[in-house]
Amino acid sequence: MLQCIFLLSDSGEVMVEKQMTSHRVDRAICGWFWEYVLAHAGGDASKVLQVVVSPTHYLFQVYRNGVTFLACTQVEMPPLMAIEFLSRVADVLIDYLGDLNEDIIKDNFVLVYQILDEMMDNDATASYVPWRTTVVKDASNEVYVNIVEELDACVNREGALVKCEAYGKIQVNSSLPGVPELTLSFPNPTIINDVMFHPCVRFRPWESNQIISFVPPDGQFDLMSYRVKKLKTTPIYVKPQLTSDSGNCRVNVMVGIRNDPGKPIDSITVQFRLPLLIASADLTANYGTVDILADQTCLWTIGQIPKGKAPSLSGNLHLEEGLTHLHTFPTFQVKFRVMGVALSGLQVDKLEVRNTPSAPYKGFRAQTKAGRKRCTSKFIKEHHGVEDLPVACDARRYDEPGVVMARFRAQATPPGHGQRVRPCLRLWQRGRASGRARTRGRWLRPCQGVWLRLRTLSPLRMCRLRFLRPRLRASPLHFSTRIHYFLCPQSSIQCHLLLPHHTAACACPTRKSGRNPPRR
Amino acid sequence: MFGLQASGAAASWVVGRMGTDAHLYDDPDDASIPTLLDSRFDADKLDALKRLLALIAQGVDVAHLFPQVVKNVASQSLEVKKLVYLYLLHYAEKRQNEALLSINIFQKDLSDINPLVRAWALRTMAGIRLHVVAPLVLVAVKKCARDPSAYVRKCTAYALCKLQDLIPEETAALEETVDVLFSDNSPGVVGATAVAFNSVCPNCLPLISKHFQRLCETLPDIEDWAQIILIDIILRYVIARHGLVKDSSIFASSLSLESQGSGNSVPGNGTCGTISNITLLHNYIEEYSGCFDREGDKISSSSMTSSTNNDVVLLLKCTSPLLWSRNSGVILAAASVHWIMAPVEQLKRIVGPILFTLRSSPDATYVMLGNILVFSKTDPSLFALFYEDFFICDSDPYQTKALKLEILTNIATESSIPAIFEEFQDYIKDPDRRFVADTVAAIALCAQKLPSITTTCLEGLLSLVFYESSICKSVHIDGEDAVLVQAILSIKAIVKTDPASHEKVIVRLVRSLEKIKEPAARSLIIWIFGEYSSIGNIIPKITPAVLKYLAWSFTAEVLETKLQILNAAAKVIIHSPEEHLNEFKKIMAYVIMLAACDLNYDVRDRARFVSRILPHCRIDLKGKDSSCQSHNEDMFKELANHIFVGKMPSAYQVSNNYRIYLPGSLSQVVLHAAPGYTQLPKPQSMELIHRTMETTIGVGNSSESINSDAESGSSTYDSGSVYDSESEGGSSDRDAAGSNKYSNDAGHSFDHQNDSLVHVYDTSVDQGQTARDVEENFSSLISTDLTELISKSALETWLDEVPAEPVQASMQTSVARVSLTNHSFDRKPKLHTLLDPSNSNGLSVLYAFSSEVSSVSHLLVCVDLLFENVSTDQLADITIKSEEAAGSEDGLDQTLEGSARVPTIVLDKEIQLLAPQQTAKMVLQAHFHHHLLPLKLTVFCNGKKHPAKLHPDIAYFVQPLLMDLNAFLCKENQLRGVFEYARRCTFKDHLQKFEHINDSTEHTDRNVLVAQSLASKILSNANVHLVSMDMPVTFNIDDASGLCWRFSSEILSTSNPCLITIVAEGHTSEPLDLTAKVNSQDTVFGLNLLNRVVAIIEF
Repeated sequence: MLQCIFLLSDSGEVMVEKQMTSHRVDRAICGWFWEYVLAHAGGDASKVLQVVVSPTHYLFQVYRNGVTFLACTQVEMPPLMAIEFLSRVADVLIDYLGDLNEDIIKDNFVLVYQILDEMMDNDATASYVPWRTTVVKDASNEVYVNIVEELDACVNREGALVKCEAYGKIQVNSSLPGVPELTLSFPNPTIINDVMFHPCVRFRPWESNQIISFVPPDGQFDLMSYRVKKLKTTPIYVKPQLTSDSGNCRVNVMVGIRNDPGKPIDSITVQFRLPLLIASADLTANYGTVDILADQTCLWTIGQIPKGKAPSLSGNLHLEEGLTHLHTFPTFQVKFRVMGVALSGLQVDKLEVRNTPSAPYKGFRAQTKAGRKRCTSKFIKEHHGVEDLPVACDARRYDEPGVVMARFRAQATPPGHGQRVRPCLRLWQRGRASGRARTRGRWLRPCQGVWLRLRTLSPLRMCRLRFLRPRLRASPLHFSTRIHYFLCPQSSIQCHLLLPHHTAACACPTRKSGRNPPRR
Repeated sequence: MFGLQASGAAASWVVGRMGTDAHLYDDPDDASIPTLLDSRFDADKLDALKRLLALIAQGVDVAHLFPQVVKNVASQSLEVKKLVYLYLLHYAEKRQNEALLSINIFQKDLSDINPLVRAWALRTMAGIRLHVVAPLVLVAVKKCARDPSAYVRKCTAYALCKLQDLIPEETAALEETVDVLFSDNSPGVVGATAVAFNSVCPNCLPLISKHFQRLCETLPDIEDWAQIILIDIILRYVIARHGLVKDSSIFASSLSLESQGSGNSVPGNGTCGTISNITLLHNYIEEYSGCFDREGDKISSSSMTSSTNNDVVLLLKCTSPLLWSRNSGVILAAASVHWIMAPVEQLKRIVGPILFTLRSSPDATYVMLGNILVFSKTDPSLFALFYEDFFICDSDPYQTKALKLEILTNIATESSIPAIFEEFQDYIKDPDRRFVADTVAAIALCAQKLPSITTTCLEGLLSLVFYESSICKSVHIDGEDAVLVQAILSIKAIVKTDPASHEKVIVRLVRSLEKIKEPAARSLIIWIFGEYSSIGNIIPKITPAVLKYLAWSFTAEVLETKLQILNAAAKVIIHSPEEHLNEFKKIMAYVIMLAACDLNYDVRDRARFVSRILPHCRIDLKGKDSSCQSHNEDMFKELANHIFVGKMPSAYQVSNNYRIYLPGSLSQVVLHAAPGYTQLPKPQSMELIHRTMETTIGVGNSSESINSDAESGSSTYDSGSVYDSESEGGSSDRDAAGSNKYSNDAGHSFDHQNDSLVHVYDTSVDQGQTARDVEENFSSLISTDLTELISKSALETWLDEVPAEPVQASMQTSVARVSLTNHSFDRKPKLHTLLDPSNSNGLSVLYAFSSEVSSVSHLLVCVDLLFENVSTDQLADITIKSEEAAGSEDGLDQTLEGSARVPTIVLDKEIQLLAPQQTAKMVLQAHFHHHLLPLKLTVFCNGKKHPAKLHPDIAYFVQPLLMDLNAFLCKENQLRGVFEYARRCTFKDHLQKFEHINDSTEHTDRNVLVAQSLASKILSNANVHLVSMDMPVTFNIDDASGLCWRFSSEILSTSNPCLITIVAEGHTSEPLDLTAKVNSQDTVFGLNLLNRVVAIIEF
């Protein structure tokens, strides 16, 4: 079993030491480890293997955001248990502290100690549903479902798609009282290849009917992750050409839309490592910005592909003396985001909520996540899609200091049960709705649009848009629907769909301070 | 050892105060910590404790503040308490004596109403690791194992791990608790118990048998860390009990391998390092040779298939949903179970989840790949379809890339190889040259495995060689040539499989010698040329030209190339056809001449050696006739053939010895057996126990599931599986008795005669039981009016006094009291041997503790010594002295304070003379420094010293405290909670007595008899006062439940009262279950006394 856990900073300094057993582990082991990191990975702890054998101990390490979590043992134990534990510790710390770095750890070292202590020894409320505290107080009676997908694709030198698969997560943020029973179903579950569930998910219904039935823990969690393999196409293409001749290498990279997903593709970046043996590089782009980073990485930030213009990067790499040809070719990594589309094609059919004391609440929330590097042979494409909301809207945000203007369009077929929606914009500051700053639009029929303008005096933190929908008696769900959009500067749009409580006091999903503050 | 979900509620109370402690961390010393600790305000204490934690975090030793911190343990603030606990855990072992100060607070906290406080107290108590406290923790653990709060019970399980570490000698008691906790309702507790089981008694697999089914059912609900451990436990259990499964993959894999291998049998097939099932079994299972034939295909002892055995089916069924877990460790553990136990056709289901973890838990990738490698070596077809998942990521560390390459090589098939090669071609352009070299090596392995692609591979490798050689000319970086060398090595390996058909490749390679300047690469090509110079049609034609070229370039070469040229030339000559021989000889002579004058002595050596061993060259070189050595020529020729042509042993045979460890183990990752690594148990090694179990399972299964936890908890582990049937019968019997007790007379007889449910009970119990039932029926018919029997007046006629105390009311059974004075029991003090006559020239010394009270000091215990001369000679001057100086012991025992003033032993007289066969008596007053440690004495006799040990008996460290029942109960109420300990035990003595008594005559006396025999046993072994004996009044004569004894005593040294209560349960015709309870202010003493009382009862 684990004997000790250390948290090391980026420079190898021991920030926290937590002994677990009587067989104390001396801090010297951290010194040894850091020597090893310097020798084998050039001081970059992220490049070190997760299991390291030192002369005295077996070490397990997990690297997150510049913090190395190091655990020691001297006896046989399942290594994945240690590794998963360390990464769970890291996740919990990130969850509690919002982020992780040397300063944050030091600022909160008492908390870190206590979390470590509780996690190492044992914890969890031993209620009937272990992941849920029995009494969830002040629940605002909401639940959000959020699908985030990442696309892993490999394209080889000939431009052929070698591998293309979507890796998705369904995130749920639940704030429901009592012990609610939730059921989530998909219209097309067969496209899913692999799944991984949160412990709250019951295995039986999935085995038999491919339905996810669960009692959610309070707060945000990953309900499931899945993989959809063998996708046919990627939304954008990247065509790099490198021709080297007489000490010079001509680079030309073109980016364009291959397969329009129907939603704007933004945050496009192309990134590649300059080959070794380069004396100088001279690269320019006709759109976007090109940066050569410190680690010899060329980063081309495009953003959205402009209309009627094909972004391209071109320039020369001057090879070192005596070298006429370039014999290694860099890998191009492409990142981009598409909002409102899940490229895997996975959709959520419905979410049923049962066993809540009052009228059930539910909702969907879509959120875009930042990208993560993925593999390649020649170049990589990455994609973070967002599942379409059941109640879909199209929103554009324009802001100037103190003013929010937004244009909203009801989708051609607003999902759900109503035909009309009515947007309502309201300013939220510090988690509270401010009283006067709100505007309400007119009722929109499908495909109709409206501008809403909201003026505030204080700097804008966040505002929320709500869609009112007419109450529908015939609807099986029998309540009205509102959609909340979070609008904040330099961010994409986050949507909340609330199916409110009968009191109509639609509380904002305030979070406990410090835990996952809504940040961009 | 660890739990999860700190994201739960327990830690959330700290969340409010975030990001405020930076100044404490950066400058913890800027305030006076001791002053803050002594402050009246919790906020100050908190501040001080945080500073201490910061210092600990920075590696500063702040143990000197221990006393000040410890006293804050009594704080009411949970937050302060928590931090004090953190500090305590860190330093308690270092500052043992001070840590003891906190024990009383823990004891008090253990009976707090807040389960969180109870749990923390237990956790910290177990965590501070003091041997002195261990017995207390043991008691606390036993008590908390039945705590109403599941959280506390869970902490109890974790405390067991720590206790095991601390007091390994108490394993039996810990096992008992493990057993109790295994039958808990809460999955969290069961999970924690699995962890405890693993550290307390990992080999105690029979314990699992009665819980197996429930454990399997609970498995999906427990925490993921515990799941990993529990999966391993139940896997081991199933193997130990039922053995391996015949149709599992590890038996079948050899077949699939053969069928796959036979289609494309290649001489070099073994080079891929595939693992046969035999190797696998050999590595997985201990004592493998005992269970399997040498052939390994047939297992002599296991004919079981996975579908016929229920336990195996259950095992697979309960682990397969865990393949969807979010914890990669759980996935791997569940996959290992399938790998070992699942039939081949079910094995496929592990593939998807395992591969998914490569994407979803990036940290687990390396470990996972290491395990996949073993799987893929044994059964390549398993992963063959999923080759895409092993394509290299740019961000992978080098080792991960290498593992993926190896797996890709293993699983490549005819259909997937084109796609894999496409990938390889991209890898060859990778900037990491080491990785490129590995890729090149992998290509060769694939080509050897799949002959259809050999040509393509060779083409590709050749062009790579040319390409690389062109680069190497221009750039010189370290390691740059590695790819080139590896490419040629790969070509060499492929060519070796069938040199004749690849002669064109050899020719092209040899012709590239012009361009390739890299010494390592050149020498390799020269070796290939020498080796295959006589093969095929084309090569022999170019041989003369090449040889000439080599001779020409000899002087310009480096050392290793020169040596290879010599070798190659020698080989050419040995194989050369007659027509070229002369020409070759000339070249050879030239080369040898050059070499003989080389600067390097290795080259000169080699030249001399070659010229010696090749006689025809020697002629030319020396220029003189060597006919005298002609008879040696044949020998030289043979030698030369042997040296230059002989087959080299395959380098890959070594790989068969490479060890494999169980999937998911640390050893499998580090490739050596880590300390504590255990193989799977021997199949069916649990068979014997299993046989006795079989009957129980069949009969008892249904009632077992109905029985409540308390029921199964009451059967101790010691009785274990064999006892199971017994307790089964016993419990149903007890149920029947219980229903009898409360039902009225008519209902009862009606039940027994008509109700079919009751008949089920009757049939389920054994023959003796039914006989007893008949007797019960009979007696129930006689006692026509039960209420009359229970009524006061009836009782008063039978008994001396009326029960009237409040405690009895809660018991809801009628109880009568028998008043017997202490004198009505004959005390037979036990004699112990102090000195054995064989060691002491015939002086025998026996001793017995007496009930006398010392007049000298209250610390002294009176012991009667009995001297006897068993020799034929006279013994003189017998006296006894203590070996230890008074009060030399450390202060471990706090009860004996002020011990320094009291002499260790006081003798009333000395024996001057002891004639043969004469006996003498002496009273020794001894001062034991510890309740358990013996006192070392020296017996002097005839001037000789005889060492002896006087073992203390804690039951005589007390004296009778006379009190009546009301006073007893009053006192008992004061000593509840922390001061109360209980243990269960069994009492059998009365059974022997019953054998002597004809039970038909006086059956009413049975309970009295039991009561008397136990009371006399206690009284003759302990110096206590019998306060009362309560007899149950039931109309079931046999039922002894409710029988209760009360003894009172006073601790000699401290005069604290010490109360003993014993309650019986069960039937007089069977061993009685007793619960002994001690109430004493002196916790350590009380605990030890309780243990002693239990020992007295049981032996």
